[in-house]
Amino acid sequence: MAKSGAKRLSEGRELSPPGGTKVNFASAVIFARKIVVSKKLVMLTSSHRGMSANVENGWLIIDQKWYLS
Amino acid sequence: MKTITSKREYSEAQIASILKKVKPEPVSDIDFDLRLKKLENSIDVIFAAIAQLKSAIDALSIQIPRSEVSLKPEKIHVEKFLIISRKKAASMIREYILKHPGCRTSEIIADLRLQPDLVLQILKKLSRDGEIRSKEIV
Repeated sequence: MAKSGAKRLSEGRELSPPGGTKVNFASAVIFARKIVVSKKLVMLTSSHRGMSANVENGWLIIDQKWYLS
Repeated sequence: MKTITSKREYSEAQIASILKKVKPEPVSDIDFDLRLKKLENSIDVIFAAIAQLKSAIDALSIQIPRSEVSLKPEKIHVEKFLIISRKKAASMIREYILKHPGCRTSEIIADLRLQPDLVLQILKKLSRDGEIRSKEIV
């Protein structure tokens, strides 16, 4: 229910969520004034490791796959 | 309170020594010539040292060519987005999706070098018109 609500909200819209909001994505691209990638491993979940990046003043586009219909 | 002052008498030798201190005797010509010669010698030594330094600097400048020593900062390449009409951009995106089915939004932006906002608007319009369809990446 929450997923569909989020989809409806984000469809074709620009969002400026308040601080403390967590955005989940499978694939995204960030355009920002400043991106500092830390190659130190961080724990995403108990069984998944990843990296982190500090970004400033920009936006993030969540990727989709596109096909001709 | 009265202070007792007494006249002090100096001997001739004492007077001579005091005068010597106050008014030193003029330097003789021989001493002056010697000092001049010493100065000239030291100036010659300094000039020789300067010449050696200059030759060393020249040798160094030959080893390092001037082209390598550039104080100008390197130009930073900035990827610029193309400024084209919405119609042209739409046809480009349609063609790209036809050639690369399953391509991602970020790939379209990067490969076609189009403005992200424009790409998003066009993709939304094309999907609304039913020309293209999107699939969430899992």
